[in-house]
Amino acid sequence: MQARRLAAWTALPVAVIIGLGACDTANSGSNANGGSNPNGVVSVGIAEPEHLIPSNTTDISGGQVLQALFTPLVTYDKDAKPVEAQAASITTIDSRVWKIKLKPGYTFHNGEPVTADSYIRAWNYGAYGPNGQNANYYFAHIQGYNALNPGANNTPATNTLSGLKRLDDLTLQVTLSAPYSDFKAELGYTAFLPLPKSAFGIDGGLVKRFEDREVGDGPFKMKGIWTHDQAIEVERYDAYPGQKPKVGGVLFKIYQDLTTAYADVQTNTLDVLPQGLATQNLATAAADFGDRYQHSPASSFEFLAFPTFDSAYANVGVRKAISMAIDRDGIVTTIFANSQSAARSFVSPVLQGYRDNTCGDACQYRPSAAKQLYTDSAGPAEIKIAYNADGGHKEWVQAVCNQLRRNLGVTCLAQPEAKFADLLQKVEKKQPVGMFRLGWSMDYPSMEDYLSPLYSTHGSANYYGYSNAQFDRLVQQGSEQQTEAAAIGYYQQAENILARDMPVIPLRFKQNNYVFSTRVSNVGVDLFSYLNLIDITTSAT
Amino acid sequence: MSELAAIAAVEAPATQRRSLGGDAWRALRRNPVFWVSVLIVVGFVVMAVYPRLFTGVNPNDCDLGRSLRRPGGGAWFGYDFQGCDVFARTVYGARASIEVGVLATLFAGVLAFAVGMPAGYFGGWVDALLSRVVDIVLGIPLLLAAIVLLHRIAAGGHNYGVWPVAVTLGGLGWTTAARVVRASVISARQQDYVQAARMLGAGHRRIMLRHILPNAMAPAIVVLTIALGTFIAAEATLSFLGVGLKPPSVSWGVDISDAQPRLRSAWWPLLWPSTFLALTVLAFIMLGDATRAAFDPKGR
Amino acid sequence: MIRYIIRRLLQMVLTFFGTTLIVYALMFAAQTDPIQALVGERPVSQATRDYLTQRYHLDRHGVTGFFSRYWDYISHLLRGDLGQTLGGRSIGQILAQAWPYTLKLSAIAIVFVIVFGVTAGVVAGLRRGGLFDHATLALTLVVIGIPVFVLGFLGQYFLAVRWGIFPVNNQNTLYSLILPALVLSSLSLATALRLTSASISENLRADYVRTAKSKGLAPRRIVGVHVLRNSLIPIVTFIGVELGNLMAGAIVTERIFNIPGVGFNLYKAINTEDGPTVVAIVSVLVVIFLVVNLLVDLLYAVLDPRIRYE
Repeated sequence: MQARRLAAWTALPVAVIIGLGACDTANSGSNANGGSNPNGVVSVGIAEPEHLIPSNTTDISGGQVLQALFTPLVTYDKDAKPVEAQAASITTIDSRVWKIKLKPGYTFHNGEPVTADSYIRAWNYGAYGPNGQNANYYFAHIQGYNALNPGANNTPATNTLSGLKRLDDLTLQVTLSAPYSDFKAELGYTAFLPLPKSAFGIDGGLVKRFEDREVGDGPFKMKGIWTHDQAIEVERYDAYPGQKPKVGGVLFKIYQDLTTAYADVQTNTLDVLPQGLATQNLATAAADFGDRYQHSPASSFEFLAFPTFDSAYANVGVRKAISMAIDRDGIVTTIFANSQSAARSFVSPVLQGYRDNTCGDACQYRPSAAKQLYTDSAGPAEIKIAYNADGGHKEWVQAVCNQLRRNLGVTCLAQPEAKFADLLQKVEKKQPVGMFRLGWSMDYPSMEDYLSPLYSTHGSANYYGYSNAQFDRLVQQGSEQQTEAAAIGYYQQAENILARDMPVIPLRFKQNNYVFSTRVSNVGVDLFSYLNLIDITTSAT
Repeated sequence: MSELAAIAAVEAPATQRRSLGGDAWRALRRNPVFWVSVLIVVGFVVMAVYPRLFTGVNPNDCDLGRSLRRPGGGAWFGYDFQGCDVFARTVYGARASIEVGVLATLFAGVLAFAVGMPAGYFGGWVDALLSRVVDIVLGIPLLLAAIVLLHRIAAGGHNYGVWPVAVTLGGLGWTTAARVVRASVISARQQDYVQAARMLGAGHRRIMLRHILPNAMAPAIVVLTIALGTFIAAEATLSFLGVGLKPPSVSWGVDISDAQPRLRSAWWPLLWPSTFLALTVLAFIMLGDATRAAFDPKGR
Repeated sequence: MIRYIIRRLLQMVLTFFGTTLIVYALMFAAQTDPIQALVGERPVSQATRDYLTQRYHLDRHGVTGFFSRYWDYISHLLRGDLGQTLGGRSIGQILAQAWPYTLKLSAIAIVFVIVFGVTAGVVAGLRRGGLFDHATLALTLVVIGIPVFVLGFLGQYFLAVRWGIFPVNNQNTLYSLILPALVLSSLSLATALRLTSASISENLRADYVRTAKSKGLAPRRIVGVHVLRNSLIPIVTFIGVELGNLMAGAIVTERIFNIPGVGFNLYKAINTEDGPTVVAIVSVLVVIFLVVNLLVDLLYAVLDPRIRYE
């Protein structure tokens, strides 16, 4: 009985495709007639943000809301190059002293003008160690950072960064502790947003629960307060001097599990799901949404890392053999329905300076050569791949394991850890976890934002302990150059070393995969996976 | 016949146990439901112990190239998303699933009676203490207990098999049964025959085991046989969260939870482990029902 | 009776502290790196690490560390301060926001269990071995064979997405909670059904039924008054316990249907190793169990006059 019922269900998706197809043509017609409503509200699915204080926000959902509420100094063009937004100009001679001129006419949503002090205040607050801000380390390039972060249980002697100087109301001079060619690109990150004077109390600390009633300088202002776990609503800020949005407001609907938002978009209850489409929905998204299911480039890079303390993988031949035994394209096609692309380089293709296939032969799928090399290099008979069970990685890790088992003749175990922190702790305690998966997406578009955190000796995300003095030197030299082009030359040399040492196995570059309802048009998602809220239009009333 | 047994029970206490058991056995032997359920249980146990009798295919031999291939050809049940043979996985999954289910149920049953019986029978401070223990255990989230027991205590990274999983599930899953047992005992201890036994000078242990236990059995068996199925399924939830069984263990629960996301593309990877799970539960429910009926003097 | 209730209320206080101690200990044992857990896969800034370690005394380890942290927690609790999450939100507010959802959801679910489960169980029990009894057994098996996350997905896909009978996700209306409650209650409903039918058929064979029959009482009266009343004790117990299970067990259902209730917050707090939040949620949960169980125990006396509390 059960069998027959289930068999009948499988016939249904066909009906869905036909039904939706018809629905779709009708709708794109109505959109073409210009049925957009400048006062309509667009609903966007996000997860509960951790914080909305710019210097404390590192999660993507919080970042998405900040996109609506604030205007950054710079944004990025199609080629991921920084272009001035709230800044009128950003200039430097030696990559060490930077002069930032602001555009006049910008005001916070409470009417307060945006000045050099708005930035200095916010950055001092973010950099001050005892405030415990998540994005604290983004201020590390600025002179005086160390004085504000003397380490645990020590109170800093000062609470201002010595490298920040107000030249006039609209001009700010930033002195870095060392030349840093990517500083302009870094300024587009949410940590560098300004804060109004009203955000701070008399004691210099932030007003209690300021983030529930956030006041920014962006195209939208808060409407009501942040209803935790439920929604954040923003409306158009009419005094905004920049490019005005084409909708009246945005309702950020908070989902506990973003993958469940998919069904809400299907029934037009939610307008856009910019991030968080579950792997299993990729297979049916084209059928469910037609051309309302779209892709755009993103910066995420997924790879497998070898802990250096595990001698089983110490031989570079073993690492390369494992890499060659993985059929990246097969996994991309079957598991990700071609919504990602196979990675054969160590930095993301969205960057200036990216080169195809820097990994060379070692990232080509060559099962028999792999087996030969693996045997010659005396690879271990049992391979383990650890992953965190809370990130939807099981399917592809399992598939990689199955390929290694077939192609190398080893036993391979895909080992789940409950969450990422558990995985990291095992690695830090040097427990035999085997290989483990990692992912990285950029904070600002520069090769340096991959090379330095992931592969340099003291990199913040170099959990596997890779260390190569020559590599470190090249990255350092690159970041001290005065032009981006010169910097890229050094970065590319550094990447060549990675291809030789193979400290990690590149697997995939992710894309943004997003779906939207029949009510909205001009939906775009940028390199940082943020929905473009300026161009989007809606026919909703 | 039941009258004879009753007389025997009164006149010859020494032979009573054997005759009650014998009675029950005679009743069971003639019950077709009993034989059907025994047959299914034995079938699954054989499958769990000797999976090779049923399939020559390695359940972990998977090829993405065969992903979600329909049933047919060499693979009766088709292939799952990873390209593993669903039939082989279902056969091999029997072992871990049945072990987890049965062990957890036994563990839960023992705890339920050990706590529920004295609580209901003695009342007073014994009841107060034991009942509050139940309340606290009820409040402990499964996920939290599983993390502590499986993740910290049962050593990290190693494949520790089904025991800790069964202990975790049973150790948290006994509370409903314990409360049900307690309730039946409270209601039974007021019955005339219990009062009579007490008057005749029977000790607490004897009253509890001989007179009250059979009466408390029926509702407990109902709750526990259903719990058996939910334990097997709950194992999947734990594995899904990364704290349950780990590869290369194969289990129905894991296969069901892996098949769910792809349900709209393929039904067969979900159908077979689910069906086997339901059949197992059915067998145990029937077995429980038949045994209970056989031991119930009123039923004969 | 009054003394009994007062005694039970006093026990509640002790149980409350027992629970906080045990759950706090479990959270302490489960702790790996709450600061990393908070930020997911991103690297943690040293400033954040120092700040949170100092603020939440995360550097106190071992047995003494445990008791000093537990003491901190309890002394704040006694002053009515539930504390803050590691993310800086007030736990009191989280509870105030989450509990109404979960209470509504489990109330609807328990109504389903009573209305459908118990009623169908009575019918099945009266005709033990009949067609209806077998049909309910089949239903039970389907519910067990298809775990709740599959059931939730199927229910959402067909009843909401395809046929549009229910809203897909929570819309802050009672109507939008019906489908989740149905999914949530499915297993309890099946168990209640089997339990009721077993209990009824058991009681139908009891001596007093034979007596009543031989007295010439109408069958309807025998079932309605005598059998039902006597069968209800295990069922009432089960429903009492199940109410707690439903509230604690709504993690999966609340996730699927995006209900910002207790289950979700509990899951998140466990995953972020947020001890104070977990303890707060579980403590409230246990208080609710205690009240419900007290009511259930009092109901015993109503259902069976031979049971007395003194």
